[in-house]
Order: sequence, then structure tokens, then C-alpha cells
Amino acid sequence: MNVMPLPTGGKRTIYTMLVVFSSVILLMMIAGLVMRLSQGGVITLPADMFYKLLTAHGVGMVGIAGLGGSTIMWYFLRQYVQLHTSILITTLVLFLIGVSCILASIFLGDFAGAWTFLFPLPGHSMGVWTNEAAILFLTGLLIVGVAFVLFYLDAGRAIIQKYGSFSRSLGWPQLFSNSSDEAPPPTVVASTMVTIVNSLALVVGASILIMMIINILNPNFTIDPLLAKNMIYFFGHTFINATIYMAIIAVYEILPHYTNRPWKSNRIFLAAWTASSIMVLIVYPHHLFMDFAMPTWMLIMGQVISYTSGFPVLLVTTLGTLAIIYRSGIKWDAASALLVLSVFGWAGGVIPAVIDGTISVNQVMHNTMWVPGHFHFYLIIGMIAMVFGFMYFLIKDSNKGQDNALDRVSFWVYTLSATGFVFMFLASGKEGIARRFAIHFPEWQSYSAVASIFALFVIVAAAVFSLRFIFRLNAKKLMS
Amino acid sequence: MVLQQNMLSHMLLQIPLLILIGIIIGLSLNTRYHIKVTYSYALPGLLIASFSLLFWMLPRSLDASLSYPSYAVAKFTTLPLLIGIPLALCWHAITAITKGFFITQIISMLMVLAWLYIESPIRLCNYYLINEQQQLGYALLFLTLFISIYYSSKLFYCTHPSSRENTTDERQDVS
Amino acid sequence: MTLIINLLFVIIVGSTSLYFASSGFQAFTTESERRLRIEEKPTSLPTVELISSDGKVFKLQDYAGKYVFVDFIFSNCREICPAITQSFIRLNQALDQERNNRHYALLSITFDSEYDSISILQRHATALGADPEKWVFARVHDETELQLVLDAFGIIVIPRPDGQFEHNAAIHLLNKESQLAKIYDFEDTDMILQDWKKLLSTSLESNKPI
Repeated sequence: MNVMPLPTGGKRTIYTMLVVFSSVILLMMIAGLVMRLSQGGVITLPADMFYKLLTAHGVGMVGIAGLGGSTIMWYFLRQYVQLHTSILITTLVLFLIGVSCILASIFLGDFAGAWTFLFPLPGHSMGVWTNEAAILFLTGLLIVGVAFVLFYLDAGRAIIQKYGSFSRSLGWPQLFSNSSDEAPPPTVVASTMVTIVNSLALVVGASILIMMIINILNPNFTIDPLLAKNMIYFFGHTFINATIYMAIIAVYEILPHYTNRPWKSNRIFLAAWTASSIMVLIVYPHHLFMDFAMPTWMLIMGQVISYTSGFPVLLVTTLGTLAIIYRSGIKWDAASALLVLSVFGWAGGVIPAVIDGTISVNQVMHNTMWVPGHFHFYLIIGMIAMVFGFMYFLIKDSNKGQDNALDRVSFWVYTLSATGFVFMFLASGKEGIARRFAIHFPEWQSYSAVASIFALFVIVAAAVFSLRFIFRLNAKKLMS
Repeated sequence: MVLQQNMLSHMLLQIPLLILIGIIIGLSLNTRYHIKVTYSYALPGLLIASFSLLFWMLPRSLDASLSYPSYAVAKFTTLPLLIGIPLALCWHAITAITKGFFITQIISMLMVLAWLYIESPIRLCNYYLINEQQQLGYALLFLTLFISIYYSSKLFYCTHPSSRENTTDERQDVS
Repeated sequence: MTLIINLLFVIIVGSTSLYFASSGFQAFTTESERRLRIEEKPTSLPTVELISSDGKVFKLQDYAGKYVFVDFIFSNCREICPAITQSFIRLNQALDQERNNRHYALLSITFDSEYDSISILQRHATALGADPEKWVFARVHDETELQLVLDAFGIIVIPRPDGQFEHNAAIHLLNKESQLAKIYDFEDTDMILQDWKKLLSTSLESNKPI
């Protein structure tokens, strides 16, 4: 298969997106640190400020994970299909406009209804924020949603133009009818899956956002709260999961460079991705185990699919990674190390997630730190590590040469402190420490204080990754 | 006129039929005069259609078309002229992304409209009964489901014409 | 470039027409448009003769100098009218306890002029225990005059197959000049009482007897 070279405009946009990614990640990490410090009793934060930071941290991280994942997807998908750079730029611009609305609603309008904007909280602030602030927040999210819809429309169009239909770009002829044609490359399979599930998620998400805006403007139009929660989690769960399914493309594309072994789409790989695309859409009820009004069958489905949903893709990816690096004489540098770490971070994060996806456990653990523990696990050590690995890959051939000791030390600092940080969450959850509390009991505070130290080191390492990227990028630009 | 006695047939039969008339006129104009619309006019054309549709989606406008003859005349002329004809002339002239964008927007909008009609505690149209309004809501919900399933399955099974050449080229490359 | 100019043009024209079609994005239904229009500018009402449940003939204008709360009902109603009537009872009790309780009146007008004769209205009023000094039930002579009143208030009545009527339900406030001045949701008695207090205090400030 011929690989198409990237146009200069596209490259420049990708670099800009990664700089935006690093800056937002660092800011949001600092917001997280401030919250942990406050819970640890080290600093005192007014409760309203805590919830504003909680909202900003949540929405900021989810949004930027989406942007980071899209960057990776676009960069590699562009090698196989004709994507439009203009659409990518529009996506970025709309994303930034949406983010500005969201930030204004939080820090100027005092909105603090959490990123999940669960109905009916945004419209019932008891005077903490105005309805206008809530509408601005929801509109901001809507604009970000439109940005991503455009992105996936372009991806879907380009994939169909080349492969004819989604069934072919998912490799169904090879999977189901023994077609002897070469299967589409992993990047195309993964991109197709994400395009499908995220388009569905975004359409549902946009609908509930508009419904909530109408409800705030005219409360006579009531919304069934359970329906609203279902729609929000269908959108939210799918979207955040899809960020990993986009970022994983970096592993499929970059590791072969290091080991000189191609990552091929075999039948097991294709079957895994098809299975995961269905399961990621129906697993969301595991967010609603506390809602006794949910139909039992949906909850049981949520539990069963929680056990199986990640597994197909996770398994083929983990085993694939092991197979591709085993005795390959892989050259270890920051990029390859971060990518291999990310696969195991993702795999590791699934274990606490599966435990939490069990109804009987969830009844007890749902509102404890265990839950932020599991999603920080596969977001920090998995998803974000993938993007940083991708960034190191982009600057690999700069004239500043090889990674130096600083990069190597930062990698280990990041790995160890991120692991420590998420285990503090999990340990707190095991002790029954509640999540989303602005102020902690004295006996809880030591957990948060220790976590803050780990968080500080994570931030330092992430700052090194980001700054090294920007400096080496500049050097590279000067060269060309 | 019979179609206007019930909200469901007013919204889901009369209005679509009027639009369809416009589409047929537009298509026949197209075959006779070979009108070629460029993208710079096609997109605004579709936007005109969207705005006109939005206007007639306001419950107020629907009521007014029953109360005032001027509104009734406006309805019978603008639906074919401002929605049907632009649709027929402009739809094929826009890019696949814009088409996709319109389709996703329409799906979300229909979903929200369905909810509005089902949940509204007040009568939206003074001329129609509240249970007709709910029937309309459920009808819209089914329409949304139908459109979504139709388009998603199309993406899975309709092979894009230009891709056939591409894939055969590749097959030759491989062999 | 042509594209951008065309788009801008269409967006401006389109949003302007939607803006006007929805009274500045405030009223999307005929009902909300009616309320908005009346709140901005009170409208005069036709001088139609009404007949009260005790047989007295009067006009809306005879109430001049008083604030009148008006609703539209029919005695056979099984759905929404009983709820409006409950609101009227609650309103009557609350207003009666206020100072200046001589300055308001309640008026329920039936739009089922076929069935709701004077005697039926009288029975209806007695069953509700309405004090005829404060709360009058009335009907109009014939269908044409009824239509005049309904049009002036903006009430649309549609007969249903089951013998009931579908109609827009609200509480209408007439000012001292007997103009239709404001329309409330019928559940909104709290809001009406709040407004009533404001009305009293402003009239006291300006030293006008209300």
C-alpha cells in the first residue's frame, strides 16, 4: 500500500494541535494538583472554587483527550486516505471557540455543574451561577461537539471514497467471507470504528445538550431525568473511550518503525475491532448502577459488557505489542518506551475498571475515589502516554539528535509518579474515601497529601515532555 | 384542506407533499434547462431552505397559516419555492461533508423536535389537540430512527462509485 | 468570496425573519405571542353584554376602577377547568386577606353557550360556594358575540369528539380601565399574588386610590 506524504499545511496544523494539547494538559494537571492539595489540607480552597476547578478539569481533560486522539488519527489516517486540511483547521478553530465559551462560563459565570452536566443540575444552581452561565457552558460543549462532528464527517467521507463502505474498511469481507484481498491497515480499521461510534455519540450528545438548553429557557418542557442520564452517559462514555481507540493508532504505526515488523490486520484483529465497536456503544449502563429505576436487563448488560468490552481490542493490542517487540532488537528511546508503557497502562487500568463494573462492588464503590482511580489509570498511563510518545516520534529526526538523559529521567519520573498517583486514588477508594468532596476529613487528608506529591512529579515530567517537543520542533523547523 | 384537520397529516403529509411538488418542479427545470448550480450558490440555497423550514416549524407560523389567509398563501408558495426547488437544484452540488453535516443536523433536530412534541405540557398549536401533538412526537421519533438507520446502513453497504476504480487499481498493484 | 457574501446575506435575512417571526426569539407559540403582545400593550375589549348566574346583565366595562381576574371555562369540563377553578378559589382566599380587598373581582365566562344556561351556571356557582359579591359566573347571549369576546382575549376553542373542548387555559388580568393587561399561567397563583403586592405598593406610592 502506498503511503501518501503529509502536506505542509497539515503538518503545521498537527504541530499546533499538539502544542495546544500540551498546554491544556499542563494547565488541567495543575488544576488537579490544586484540588488534591486542598483535599489534603495543605492549602485552603473555597468550596465554590473547588467545584469550578473540578468542572474545568473534567471538561478540559475530556476535550483535550479528544483533540489529542484526533491529532494522532488524522496524522496517520492521512497517509491512506485523502483528508482535507481545511476541515482539520476548522475543527481546531471551532474547538478553541467552544473551549473559550466553556472557560468563560466557569471562571466568569461561576458555572460549577461538573463536566457531566447531569440534568437538572445546570439549570438549578440555587443561585450559585446564572442560567446564562449554564447555557454558555452547554453551548460551548455543543460547539466542541460540532467541531468533532466535522472531523468525523471528513474522515468518514474519505474512508468511504477509498474503500467503498464502512463494512469494507472494517475488513468484513476478510473477516466473514474469506476474501483474499489485503485487509485494510489497522489505522483505517480503528479510524472507521471511532468514526462510527463517535458520530452516533455526538448526535445523541448534541440532542441532549439542545434539550437541556430549551429546558433552562422554558422549564415547562420537562426532561425525563433517567432518559437524560442515559443520553449523557451514552455520549460521554463513548467519547472518552474513543479517545483511547484513536490514540492507540500511534502504537500500531510507530512501533513497527522500531522493530521492522509490520503490524498487519489479521482476522483476529479485525474481529476484535468489530466486536469492540458494538460493545463500546452498549456498555454505558455501567455508569447507572446506582439508578434503581433503570431496567434490570440494561444493568446486567452493563456488567457483562464491562467484562468483555475492552478485552477484544485490548487483548489483540497487548499481545500484538508483545509479539512485535519480542526479540526484535527494539531500540528504546522516549517514543518507543512511552508507547509500550501506554499499552500496559491501558491494560492495567482495565482491571480496576472491571472490578468497578461489577454491580455488587459498584453499589459500594461508586462514589469513592476508586472510580477516579480507574479512569486516571488508563488516561494518564495509557492515553496521555500515547500522545506524548507520538510527540517524541515526530521530533525524532530533528537536528538536536537523540533523546538525552533528561528525556530518559523524565520517562521514569512520569511512569513511577503516575503509577503512584493512581494507586493513591485506588487506595483511597478501598478505604471508602468519597469522591467529589471539596473538604476531606482529617483522617483522609494524608492520602491526598501523598497523592499531591506524586501529582507534582507527574506535572514536572509532563512539562519536560512538552517543552522538549516545542524546542526540538523549533530546531527542526529551522533546519527545513 | 382535509390534511390540515389533523396535526399529524398537516406536518407530515401536507408540508412534505408541498416540498415534494417543489422538488419535482426543480428537477424538471433541471432536465429542461440544464441549470448548473455552483457550490457558492448551492450552500446558500440549502441554507435558504433550512431557514424556511425552521420558520414553518414554529408552532406560531402553523397556527397563523390556519388563522390568516395571507399566511396560508405564504405557506403554499414558500414551501415549494424556497424549500423544494433549492433542494432539487442544490443538493447534488454540495460536497459530501456538507451533505453529511446537513444529515446529522437534521437527525439531531428531529430528535429534539420529537421530544418537544411528546413532553410539552402546553398545547403548542392552539388549533390542535394535545394528544395529536404527542402522536406527532412519536411519529417524528420513528422518522428519526428510520433516517438514522437508513443512512448508517447505506454507509455500510453502498459501495462508493469512485472507490471501485481505486480498489481495482490497488488489486493490480498488489498482484 | 462569492460563497461568503452569499452565505452572509442568507444568514442575515434568514435570522432576521426568524427574529421577527418569533418576536425576538421570545414567543414561539401563538399563546406566548398573545401574552407578550398584551404585556407590552394592554388591549381594549369589546362592549358585549354578559349575563351573570343570578340573571343580571352587565358589561366588562362596568368593572372600571377594579382589577378583574377573568378565566374561560365550561361547567361540564372534566380536565383543565376544575384546575383553573381551584386556582381561582385559592386566589380569592388570598386576595380577600390582603388590604384593599375591595379592589378586585373574579369573573368566569363560559364558552359552552349551548349547554351552560343561566340555571346551570347558578347550580355550578352554588356548588363551588362562590361569593357572588366577589366571583361572578357569566355567559354571553349568542355565538357571534361569544366569538367577539374569545377573539379579543385570544382564546381558541376546539370541540373534541368526546363532547369536551380543547382550549387554551390561563388567568387574564383586566386593569382599572377594563383593558386586558396581563395573562398568567393558571398554576401561577404565587406569581399573581406577588404582582398584586407590587401593584398595591406602587399605587400607594403614587398616592392614588386603587
